Amino acid sequence: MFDTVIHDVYYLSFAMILVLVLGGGIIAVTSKSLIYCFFGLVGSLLGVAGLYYNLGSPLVAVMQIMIYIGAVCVAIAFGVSLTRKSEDEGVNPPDIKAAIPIVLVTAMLGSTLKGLQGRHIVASAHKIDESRIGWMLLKEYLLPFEIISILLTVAVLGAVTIALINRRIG
Amino acid sequence: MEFLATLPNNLLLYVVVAHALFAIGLYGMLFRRTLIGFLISLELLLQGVGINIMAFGTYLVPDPMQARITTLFIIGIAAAEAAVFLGIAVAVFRNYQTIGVDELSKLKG
Repeated sequence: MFDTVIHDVYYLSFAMILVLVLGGGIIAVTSKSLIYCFFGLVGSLLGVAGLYYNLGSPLVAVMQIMIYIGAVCVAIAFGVSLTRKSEDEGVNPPDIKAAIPIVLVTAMLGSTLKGLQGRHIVASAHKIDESRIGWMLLKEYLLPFEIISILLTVAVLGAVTIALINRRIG
Repeated sequence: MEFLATLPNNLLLYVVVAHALFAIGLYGMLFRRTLIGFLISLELLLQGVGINIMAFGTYLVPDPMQARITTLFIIGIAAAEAAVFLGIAVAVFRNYQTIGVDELSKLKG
């Protein structure tokens, strides 16, 4: 009895994560106001963190929440409030260009599923030990790790520099 | 019902969701009118890529840690890219008083 309740809650929460990912994404690209877009993006990123957790990786889920929602989304909120001008906002009405993502992604998905036929699943998401990740980051992947830290420093300093240039053009 | 019960641990579901998110982001790239809207769509595209890498790395690769590390690097690089993009958007707004991509046509012939 108790077991089935736990299972129902698990499947219900998984369905909610899927709704959050796709619904948040659709709100983020179709709503008129950039503020609604921003909140749709936050919902979508939270849902993606839930998907990472379901894939057996709490570490990446926490990193996703900390970096995306804690840093990138706050930066986007500042960007929205610093550059707000409501007559520019909104989306262009859908026309023939809307076929591009549909056709492209359908082709990608079809070829992916075709390539997946015959591959057998070697692992399950529920039996993964993540404790090796720190060793791997500091041994095999030390150089990319350090390069990313330098890249982040340079990018943030460059962004501040670009934003501080106050030269009028034209 | 048996199929539904295994769905949260099924590779196909993650692949389909990742592709759907990629399509949504691509639609946003084509139809949004402002630079900030472009940035939001770009984040969605990167999320689709991240889910794909995590799903394939978890289910098809013998060592799942490589996918974790790749996804962490993608998250870091996306943070750097968002910082630069927002700096550029603020600078463009200072100079042109707009970030609408249709008005930013000074370099057009």
